[in-house]
This record gives sequence, structure tokens and C-alpha cells, in this order.
Amino acid sequence: MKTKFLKRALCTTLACATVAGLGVGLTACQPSDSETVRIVVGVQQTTGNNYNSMCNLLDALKDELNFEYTTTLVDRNADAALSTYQNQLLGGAQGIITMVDVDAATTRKIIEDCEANNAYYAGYMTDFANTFANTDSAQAENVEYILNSDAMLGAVTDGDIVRDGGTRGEFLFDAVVKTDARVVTLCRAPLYAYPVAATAIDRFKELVEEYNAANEDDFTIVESVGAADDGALEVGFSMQNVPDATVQDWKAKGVEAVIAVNSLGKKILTNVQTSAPEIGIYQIGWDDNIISAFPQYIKTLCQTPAETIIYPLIRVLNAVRGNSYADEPADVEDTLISGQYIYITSEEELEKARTSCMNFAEGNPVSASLISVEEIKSLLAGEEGASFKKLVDTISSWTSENVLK
Amino acid sequence: MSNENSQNKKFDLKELPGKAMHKIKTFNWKEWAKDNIFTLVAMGGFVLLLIVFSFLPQVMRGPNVTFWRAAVLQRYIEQVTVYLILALGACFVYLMGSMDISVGYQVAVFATIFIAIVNAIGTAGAIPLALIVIVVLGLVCAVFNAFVGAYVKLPTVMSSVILMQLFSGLTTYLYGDSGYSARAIVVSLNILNETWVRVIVLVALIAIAYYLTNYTVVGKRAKAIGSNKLAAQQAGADLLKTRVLCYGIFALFLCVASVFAIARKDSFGEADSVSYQMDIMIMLLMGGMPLSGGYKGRVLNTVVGTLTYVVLNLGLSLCGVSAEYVFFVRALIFVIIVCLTCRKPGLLLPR
Amino acid sequence: MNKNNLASTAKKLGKQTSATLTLPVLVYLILLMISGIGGHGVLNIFTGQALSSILTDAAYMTIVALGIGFQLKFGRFDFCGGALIVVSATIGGVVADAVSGGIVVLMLVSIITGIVLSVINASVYSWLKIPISVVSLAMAYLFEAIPGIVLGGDAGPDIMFMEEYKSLGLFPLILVPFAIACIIYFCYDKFTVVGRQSTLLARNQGAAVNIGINEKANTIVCYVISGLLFGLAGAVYATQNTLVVITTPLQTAGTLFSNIIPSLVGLFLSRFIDDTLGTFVGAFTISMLYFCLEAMGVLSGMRTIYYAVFLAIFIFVSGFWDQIIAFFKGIIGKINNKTMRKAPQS
Repeated sequence: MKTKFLKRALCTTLACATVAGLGVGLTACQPSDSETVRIVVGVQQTTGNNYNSMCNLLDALKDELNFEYTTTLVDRNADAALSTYQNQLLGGAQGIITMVDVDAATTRKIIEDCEANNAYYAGYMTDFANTFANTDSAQAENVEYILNSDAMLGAVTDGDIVRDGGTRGEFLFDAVVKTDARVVTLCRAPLYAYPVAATAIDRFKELVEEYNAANEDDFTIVESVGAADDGALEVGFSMQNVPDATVQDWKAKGVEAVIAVNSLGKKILTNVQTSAPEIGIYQIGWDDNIISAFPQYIKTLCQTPAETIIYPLIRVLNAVRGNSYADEPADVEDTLISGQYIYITSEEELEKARTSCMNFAEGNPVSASLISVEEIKSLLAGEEGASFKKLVDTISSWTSENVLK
Repeated sequence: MSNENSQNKKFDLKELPGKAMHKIKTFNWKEWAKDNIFTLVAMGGFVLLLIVFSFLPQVMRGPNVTFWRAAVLQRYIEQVTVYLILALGACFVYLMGSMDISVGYQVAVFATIFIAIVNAIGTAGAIPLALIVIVVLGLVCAVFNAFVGAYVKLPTVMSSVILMQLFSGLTTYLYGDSGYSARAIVVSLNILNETWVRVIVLVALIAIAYYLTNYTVVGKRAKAIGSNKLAAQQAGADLLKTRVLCYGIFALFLCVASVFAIARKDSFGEADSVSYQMDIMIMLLMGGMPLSGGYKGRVLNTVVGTLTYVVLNLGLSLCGVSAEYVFFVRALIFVIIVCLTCRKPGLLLPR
Repeated sequence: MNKNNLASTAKKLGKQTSATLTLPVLVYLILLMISGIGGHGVLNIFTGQALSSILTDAAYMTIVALGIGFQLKFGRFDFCGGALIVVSATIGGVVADAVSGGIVVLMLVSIITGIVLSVINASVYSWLKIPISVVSLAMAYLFEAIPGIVLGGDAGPDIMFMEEYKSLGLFPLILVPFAIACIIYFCYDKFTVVGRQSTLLARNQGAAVNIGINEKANTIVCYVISGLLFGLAGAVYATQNTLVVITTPLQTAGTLFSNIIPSLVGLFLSRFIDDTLGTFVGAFTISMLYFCLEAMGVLSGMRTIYYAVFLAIFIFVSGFWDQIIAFFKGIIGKINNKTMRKAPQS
């Protein structure tokens, strides 16, 4: 009798707990009106000033532009990313804006699911152009499919890649040549993930050669132990930082500056601070956790304004509503555009950025946005004077020179 | 009169042909339920989730978002396939009271080798060869696992720790160190993505696993080893041979799962399978499978656990639950199911 | 008598010293050989910087391994360790950063978090009588979800970049949590009543309960200690690693299995030396292995493969140790017999 009662009680508890557990977290879910466009933004992290700025801007826009959005965590696990996006499409998502660039085969599968669900796919801070250009031959058919699909709306890159990394190399060279540091070593992320790094390294080396030919105080590029064929140390995706042994090696070789053509400051910083504080770290990218080390250890910072989200957002809203520009590009390749880095090399520049761009401002308020809600609305297809060129020019205008003046 | 006589005549057991003089008993539902209480609780949980997800997405996201749609069920079967195949194979290992934490990395390496062989030859004719190669590799790993588990006086998981490190290193070498984030296959395996193919394969594999665990010597010995290794050994079970067979069966299922994992998008990525080992463990426990193995372990536990795990993910996403809460709700339900199904009443704490 | 005592003490010391040094020396010699063959020159690990780097990694690995080994020693395989480390690191980091409390607050909060979560784990285990491997899996899954809910998807601040915290993860300050962990682990079953009761329970659970040992209370105390150890490891973890949001179930189990080997080395060497020292020897050997492989420029995938080979060799040697010793004793015996037969009779 007691056992029976206990079992019944346990089964009831299971039922109640399941329902209660499902109830947890559903409070944020609201049934929405059928005209509202549902968008999913796939992000790698749900913290940081870039994420906060993006969310603040989207929150300010959603009522005005009649859309709702959710963010979902996606990482390098392509299989899990596919499942996540599939589930979101089944849940009624009409547009996917992804910050995570998966391989061509997975992208094709996502696009096929979008086509089946009358949904659309766009990239934000992703470099589809370089990824598709550098895939192996087995992926060629997948790339062709993606570039011919109506569901693929294009992407805006993180930084001013312009399908090559030359600008990065130039920026880093300009930053280091102003100083006395002449013994440098090169670092980069894996090429399969960041093909742009190869161009950045080549451009830096070109500039070094030109400088050495014209000046007496030559640059010397020192190779780290375990450097790749291009002479740069490849720093991987693991949570491990550049090991102390490597920093010791740099110190022993008299390295004065580390040139990292990707966002690697975080991985290099700790052991440099401890073992070789005289070495300056010149890197691309931004991380909230290393700002305190600027400009003493970290010499360069850069960040793409989060306002760039308006590009994939407007592309998705136009497509879902069936609106298009008069100068709508026929090829998907023409919709893969470049973002713009805001480059910071001094505290003065950082202070200017804090007042002129959401990413850098305290609390990331919409009031610090580079573009107003009305201006964004005027970029939608169907609005007076709106065009694809105007949209792209707006994004392109957010250069360091314009933002930091 | 003669009809009444024939109806009233009692059935004489001695009239049964053959050696077997079976006692015919009426099926006792209460006893069966008592023996299978944990499986029933797990099944009850799954059914409850299906009922809840039948109406909750519509309430939360609007009338168009329903669970019982062809598209949703197709995706569900797609997402369940690889997990269920792996779980069915892992069932044999877990029945012995062992566990394998190298599953994810083994799938990654086998899938990569399969793709490399097919791409090197470039035609569909390479598929059987590629399959044979990965099956042989899987059997080598099975022998290694079995040998270490049988003769080394350490927890049986240690053999899989070695394989985990080895295959993890190989995965990093084949992908990151070689400059690939994913490897695509030149010969499409799209036929395997058809829902009817998946369903047929899954049903067939479930039937095979069920038959092997319940009607063959290897299944019975696996359960015996899980229940009491010493007693099984003394009753004549060859520990090494049984382990080799169980790990070998697991390896075969693993190879099939690798092929389906590739087929999903005709490519395989470095990070695609790293979480499989823990997912499998959670699924088996969610289905009521005891981690110590033994006679209480059933193929049904495996199936129910896998289906529950995937339906939770899918259903909560349909309801628009954010990722953090999906994780939390899954964890909570897992804890509840474990608390209900894994209790060992007694004076002493189980170890 | 004194001479005999001295001789036996010297023999014992010699045995212990050789047991302590054999594994790291053997591994170092093999690495030297590989380095020489590969043309990488002589691997010098005896510089100040190299030793401090190796000792830093070894210290952290030892703390984690002691936490795992603590439960293994008493017959429990606990999957919760990794989750405890990460969650206590996250909460410790958040609180310490919020109150600007420095290393002391970081360590205290991490330890308290580790203990609380560990006691919850133990309570569920002893109240519901669920096998520890199962309940620890379930609780690890639940604990991993906590930062996501409490911090709204935030992984917590990266305190490893803050001057006031990162020194805890570096030599020589890392030796403080290392020493605390070693002392607690060493003293628990040798100098405390509850520790001896735990040993009795591990050896013969039924008999120990029958003589009146309160198994549940003892289990809770064990988990308080292991929670303390994992909390210490969490504090160090926060100062050495960037914290990430856990998105995959039981992602932290990887931390557990990566650091289990030193505790197994400790358990194996416990037949010669104290298992605390044995654990440190294991951790030191693995840290040295990784350091040397990195110094040789070996790719990360190949490093893991080398480690797997080391693991396989160690597990086979430790698993068949008695047979290996018997084999060599047999050979030595045969040689002695032959020598005795050949000796001329006076």
C-alpha cells in the first residue's frame, strides 16, 4: 500500500516537475502577431559590448520595423548549429542572421531548410566570401548551390576585409613603425578559419621589405618555435594561451613587438605581462577583458561597429516582405560586403570612440548609435530614395576617420 | 454434449510435443510492471513530453507552430538517427557495467577516414572499401578495450580514456593541424537522408539489438557480467570473449552511425561529435538504464532515453525557450528521472 | 640493532626515492632521446623559467587530481569534479570582481561554492541512495546549467587578466593552494578519526557500518573535503583560463578525465610512497611531458597522441606490475642459481 502510494506520488511529482520545468523560461515567450517578422540571430557569446550594442539597437528597432528577434548560441560544432537552426525554422523563424560561419556543406543544408520554410539566411560579422573561395574541391558544388540560392541574402564581414586582409597588415605596420620596435614576430589564427590572415601576413612582410629597402633601422622578423611555413606562429582555438615557453623564446631572441593579424591579444597577454612586459602586442580585434592592458601592453585595438547589424536585418526584412530595390544585385557574390574597423592606437582615440559609437560607449546606449532609427527605416526597400547602393555606402562610411573626427 | 465435454476437459500438459514441458501461466501485469517500473517511468516521461509539446508550441508561438507536422517529425527522425544508433551500440557496453568516453572522437576519426578513402578513389565503389577499413579499425579498438577492461585492475573506463586521448589527438591532427574545419565527401550519401531509409535502418537496428541482448549468449553474458562479474565468470562466461564481442558490436554500430553522421550534410566537421559520449550516457540514464549494467538494462531503455533527449531539445526550441533555459530544463528533467529510476534501497550506500 | 635499523631505514628511503624519481627521470630520458633524434637539441628543463612553468602546471593538476583521487580512494567514482571547478571559478570570479576582494575573497568564495555544491551532491546521494556515478553525472549536468541561468548567459569576468588575481595562477603563489590541498589530503586519513572511518568504509562497508560508523555523516564530511579541494582548483582555474559559457552537456567531464591520470599514478605509487607525493609525481611527469613536446615544436594533435601513448604504457605497466616483477624476479633467481652452481666448492 505504502509502495503503491510512493510510486503514485513519484509519478505525479515527475509530471508536475516536468510541467514546472517547462514553465521555467517560458515567461519570456509571447505569442506574436502574424505580420511581425521572426528573426533568429545565431551568436557565439551572449555577453560583451558588441552583443549588448547589437541587442540594444535591435530592441530600439523592433517596434518601428515590426519584427521580433531571439538570439541563440551557436558554436563551431556544425552539426549542432544545423540542428539549432532547423529547430528555429520549425519554430517559425523567417530569417536567420548568423555570426558563425560554418563550412559550405552545412551552410548549404541550412539554406535548403530555409528554402523549404520560405525563410532567408544572412551573415553578420562573417566572411563567407573568403570561406567559399578557400574551400576544397569537394565543397565546390555546395558553394555553387549557395551562391545561386534565393534564400541566401549575403553577409557583412567583421572588419574591412574587402576579400583580402591587406588593410590589417597595413594598419599593424603603421602602428609599429611609429615606435622604436624593430624586432618583431608574427602570429595568426588557423588559416582554414581565417583565410584573410594569410593576406594580412603577406602585406605586412611586403611593407617591411619596402621599409628596409628605404631605411637604415631595418625590421627583423623573428620566427617562433613551431612557426608555420609562412613564418607566423599559429595560435589555435583552444582555451590555452600562447605558452610561457614561447614567450621566453621571444624574450631570448630580443623580440620587441608581437604582430597578431587576428584577435589574439587575449591569448598572448598574460604570459607577456608576467614574463616579458617589455614586448608590445599589436593585434586586431577587441576584448572587454584586455582593455585595462591598453595601451601599456596591448598597443592596438579595433572593432566593427555593432550598427553593421542593419545590413543583414534590412536584407531579411525586405526579402520576407517581398520588397526589393531597383538596383538589387543579381549575384549573391555582390551581396557579400565588407564592414569597417574602427582602429584605436591611443587613449585619445579611445576617448573619442566612447562618445561616437555604441560599442565603445558606457552601457552601449542607442543614443550613441552611428545611425538613427529613422535613418535605418529609410533604408528599407520601398522607402523613398532607398537603394542597395545607399545601404552599402552607409555601412562603408563608418570608417575610423569619419567616426573619430 | 460432446462440445461441453471438450470444453470442460482440462488441458493435459503431457500431451505437449517435444522435450519442453512448459508451464503455461497467465501473464501477470502487476509483476511485469514491478520488474519494469523504471522503464515505465522513463516511458511515462516521454509520453508526457509528447502530450505537453502537442499544445505548448501553439500556445507560445502561434497556431502555425505545431509539433505534429511532417516537417517536424522528419527533422526529429533526422536528429535522432545518429544518437540512437550510437546508443544501441553503447547499450552492449553499458550492460556489462562498463562505459566508453571515446565515442565522439572515434566517430570523428572513422568519419574522416571514410571520407578520405572515398575522396581518394572518387566513386561510389569506394564506399564498401571505406566501410571495411573503419570496421576493421573499430574492431581493433574493441579488442583493445576488451583486453584492458578484462585484465587491468583499474576502472573499466580507463581503456576508453586512452582511446579518447588518442582519437582526440588524431582529430586535431586531421583537422586543425592539417588546415581543415570540415571535410566534404565527393560522393553524395543523400539517399541515407530519406526519412523512410532512416526509419527502416533504425527499426532494423533496434530489432537486431533487441535480439542480440535477449536471445543470444553474448547478450545474456553481458548482462550477467554487469550483474555479478565473479559469478558470471565462475558460471563459465569467458570475460575476454564476451567483452570483445560486446565492444565489437558497439564498433559496428559506431561505424554505421559515422556513415549517417556524414550523410546528414555530406561532410564532417572537427567539432561535430565531441559531445557524443556524454550525450549517450545521459540518454541511457534518462531511459532508465542502470550505469552498473546487469539484467535491468534493456534496449527499450536506450530507445526511450534517446527519444526523450532529442524531443526535449526540439520541443523546447519550438516553444521559443532560450538556450540557457533549454539546458537547465534538460538538466532538471535528467535529475528527476535519475532520482526516480536509479534508486537502490538498502542499508548501505551504493558504490 | 642500530646498524640494522639504519640499514633498513636506508633501504626504505632508497626504495622511496627511486619510486619517486623513476617515472619522471625515465620520461625525461625518453624525451631527450626523441629530441636528439629529431634534431631539437638538448631539452633543458632545469632553468628557473622552465621549472616554474612545469611546477605551475603540475601544481594545478595535482590539486584537481587530489580532489578526484580523494573520492576514488574511498571507492567512489565522482563525475562532478569538473563542474565544481568551473562553477566555483565562475562564481568566485564574479563575487571577487564585484567586491574587488582580491585573491583571498576569490579563494574563499570558490571554496565555499565548491563545498556547498559538493554537499548537495552528497546529500542527494545519501538520501536517495542512487549510485554515486549516476548521481554525480546528474548533478554535474545541473551545476553546469547554473551559470547560464544565474548570470544570464554570461561566463563571468576573465579575472586572469587582472593584476590582483592572476598571480594566484602563477609561480610561486600557486604553491599556496597546492600546499593546502596536499596537507588536507595527506592528513585526512592518517591523522583524523573521520578519515580512518572513511578508510574502513572503503575496505569493508558492511562491517564498518555494523561496528557503528555513521556512513551518511562520513560521506558528507568526505564531500566537504573534496568540495574544498575542487574549490581551491576552481580559484586557480579562474586565474589561468578564460571562462566560457557551457553549451554542451557534461562539457566539464573533459576536465575530469584530463586530470585523472596523476591520481591513478598516485594510487599506483602508493605501494612505495605516500599517494599524495605519488599524485604530485604523476602531475609533474605529465607537465614535463607537455612542456618538452611544446618546446620541440610538436603540433598540438601529435602532443595529445604522445600523451595517449604514455597513458597506455603506464596503464599496462601498472596493471601488470605484479606479473612484471615476478618475471624479473624469476630471471634474477635463475641467474643467481646458475652463479651458485658455477661457484667452486671449497
